[in-house]
Amino acid sequence: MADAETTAKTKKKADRTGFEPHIIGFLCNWCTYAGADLAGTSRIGYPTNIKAVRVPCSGRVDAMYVINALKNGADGVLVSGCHPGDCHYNQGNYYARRRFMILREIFSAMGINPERLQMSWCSAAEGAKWAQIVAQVTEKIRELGPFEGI
Amino acid sequence: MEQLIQEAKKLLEENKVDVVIGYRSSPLPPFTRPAFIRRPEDCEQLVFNCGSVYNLTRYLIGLGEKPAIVVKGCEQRGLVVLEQENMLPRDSYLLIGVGCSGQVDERKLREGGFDRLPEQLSDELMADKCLYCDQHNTPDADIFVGDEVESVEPRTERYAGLDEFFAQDYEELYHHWTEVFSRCIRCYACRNICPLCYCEQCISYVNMPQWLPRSVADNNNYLFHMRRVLCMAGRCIDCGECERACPVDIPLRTLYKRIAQKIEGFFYGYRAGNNREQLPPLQDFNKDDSADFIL
Amino acid sequence: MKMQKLSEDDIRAGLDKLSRETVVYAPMEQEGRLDFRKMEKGGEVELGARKTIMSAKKLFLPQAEELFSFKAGKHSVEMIDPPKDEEPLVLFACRPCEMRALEIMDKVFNWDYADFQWNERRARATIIVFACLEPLTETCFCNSLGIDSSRSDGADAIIYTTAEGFFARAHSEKGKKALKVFVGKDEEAPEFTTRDFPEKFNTDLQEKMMENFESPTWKEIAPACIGCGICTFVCPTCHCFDIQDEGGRRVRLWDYCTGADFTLMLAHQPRPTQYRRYRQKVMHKYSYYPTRFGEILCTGCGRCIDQCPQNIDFREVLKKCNRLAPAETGGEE
Repeated sequence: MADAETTAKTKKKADRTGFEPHIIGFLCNWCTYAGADLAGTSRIGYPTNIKAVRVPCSGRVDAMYVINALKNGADGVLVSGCHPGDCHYNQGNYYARRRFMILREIFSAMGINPERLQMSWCSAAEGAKWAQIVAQVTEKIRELGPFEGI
Repeated sequence: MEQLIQEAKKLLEENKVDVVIGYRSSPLPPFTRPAFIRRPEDCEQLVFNCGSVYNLTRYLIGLGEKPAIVVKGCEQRGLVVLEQENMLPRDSYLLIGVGCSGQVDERKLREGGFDRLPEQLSDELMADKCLYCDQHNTPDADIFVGDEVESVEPRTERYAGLDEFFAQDYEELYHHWTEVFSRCIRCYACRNICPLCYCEQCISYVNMPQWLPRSVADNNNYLFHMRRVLCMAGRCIDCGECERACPVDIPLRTLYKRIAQKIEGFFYGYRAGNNREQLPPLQDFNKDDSADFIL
Repeated sequence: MKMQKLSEDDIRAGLDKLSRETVVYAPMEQEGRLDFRKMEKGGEVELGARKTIMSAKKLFLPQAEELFSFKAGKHSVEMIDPPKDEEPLVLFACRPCEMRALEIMDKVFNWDYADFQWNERRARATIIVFACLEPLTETCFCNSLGIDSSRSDGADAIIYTTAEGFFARAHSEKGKKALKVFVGKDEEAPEFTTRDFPEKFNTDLQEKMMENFESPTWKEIAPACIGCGICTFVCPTCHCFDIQDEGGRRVRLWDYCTGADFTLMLAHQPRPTQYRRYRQKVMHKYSYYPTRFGEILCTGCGRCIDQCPQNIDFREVLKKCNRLAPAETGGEE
């Protein structure tokens, strides 16, 4: 882990112009992960900057996951779940929404740009939307530049 | 505080409680200290004055005895949160209510070289949380001792100065907080003194995986405190104990209050502990919560 | 006796010079907090009778110290020693109680294993003590622990503060060398004795505590303790540490016996209640350590009293321990 961390950080510092952000995506198993699958099977291209982590529900994503991802070399984090009302567990995404709303406020109060934490709703049928979200998030994080905090 | 002594004596004599948790006087600032009274004859020690700064509700969880406890107005909110979180049923303690017209700022007392409490507490010596207090008398008390205090106009705003402070850009803020937290000695007094930090195993104990590295380094301290802000989000009752306990004067409440301010704005004026029926924001959701930031 | 007489300006000028030659740690104020800090300029050093928040212990046993780091290859593990800091160090204006604390801790750090980090730091440090002729604060009780704060024989040099100026005397070669940077004439110094210390109380509690380990009185000794680490971290003698692996680094960290996680194991907590933890703290200082090393692990500096957020007075705790009595029924609950 330490190794990956240092390589990630030196890589970023070395070359800022050709900066390729590392983005960790926490994808809900029931919607977004399937949506990403659909994007793949439909051969829709999208940036490879995102590393997907499959989670049972966006409500499962602990704030510490996000913080730890940033700490260990990610430049941005995307949490993606089902549309409101569609949660496989009825309400997980509602809790997640509040949690990350507050976490973004904590980030901005403590001096981390809250835009590094992105959240999206993307259903299993929205392969094209997924590709578009990833492109959008990658662009945003690229603009923000490498994350050098924590 | 004759009435406090009499009531405490009665409770212990009638075996209604095992222990009375209150304040007794002390030769050192702030000239009181927590008292655990178990014998009726010791009740004479009990005092309540403007030096009774301690939030005693911190001792309730895991006490193992039936207590009667002296609680100030602001601290009662913590008991409401604990009840909402199913940590402390209302009937597990007897609440002795008091009227409080403000507490001293322990630090100012030390710096001013006082050798006893001032007769009349001036605004300059008062803890800043008391300047905007809106709960001078303990609500929901089982026994109320002494006279009710008439409410006074707040002298400052609860969230005064926060908007200006947090208007700095992210880089400045990050720099500010890492610098402030670099002096943290990780004594965990802020956590241990907090009436709402009751986890039997704090996440900072966990070392597989080690979420919060323990060695004192700027980033590790920053991380620990970020986690604490997260824990306090929507729960902090602003009793000010963490800041009072901190041996290196870290302005923790600036962060906690900022988040409380935001939460008040987001979640329909929610303030931790003000209303038993309104659930803490992270335990609850509303279908109409703002979703501006979601793609 | 002849001593080197110095004015405040002499000391500040000397420190200025010294800090350019070597690393100097001295009490310095920052935003109202007095602590031992690395010196940049002589002007800022606190020469008055004030107590630092943390003791000088942190210079010899840092709060977090890397022991080694490691890198795992495919079939091997590479061990890397931490970067060594070999600069000589001058510790200026610590107090006799802190010096005494270092001597007390020397015993445990050289008991079955000689701790080379500790010994190496002790060896390269020159310690200049400021004598306390009066207690620094009302919480000082070093006289009850048999410390004469008008002298500090283990230190390399000692400085006395008087109304006419400062008198300095070296105890060792290192001390002599350090004092050379201060200009000043040798003058006949008066006799220095301590005054105005609080009344002594009995601190020989070793056996009493052992006999009354199970006494129910322990529960009433410090019920207000919240189990934070302040008193142990500011203490000049507390030296318990924890070892943690942090991303390829093995670090030694201060630990605190008053906290619940000190003894917490996966399946068992041998000290489940706060009074047991507090008992451990008191007994380690006043019973176990004297039994093993012949010295009480406390120097009466009073920092734990100054900094305790719940205003627990350690002197009161000790006085209560003096009154410990065996349980009537016997055994813990």
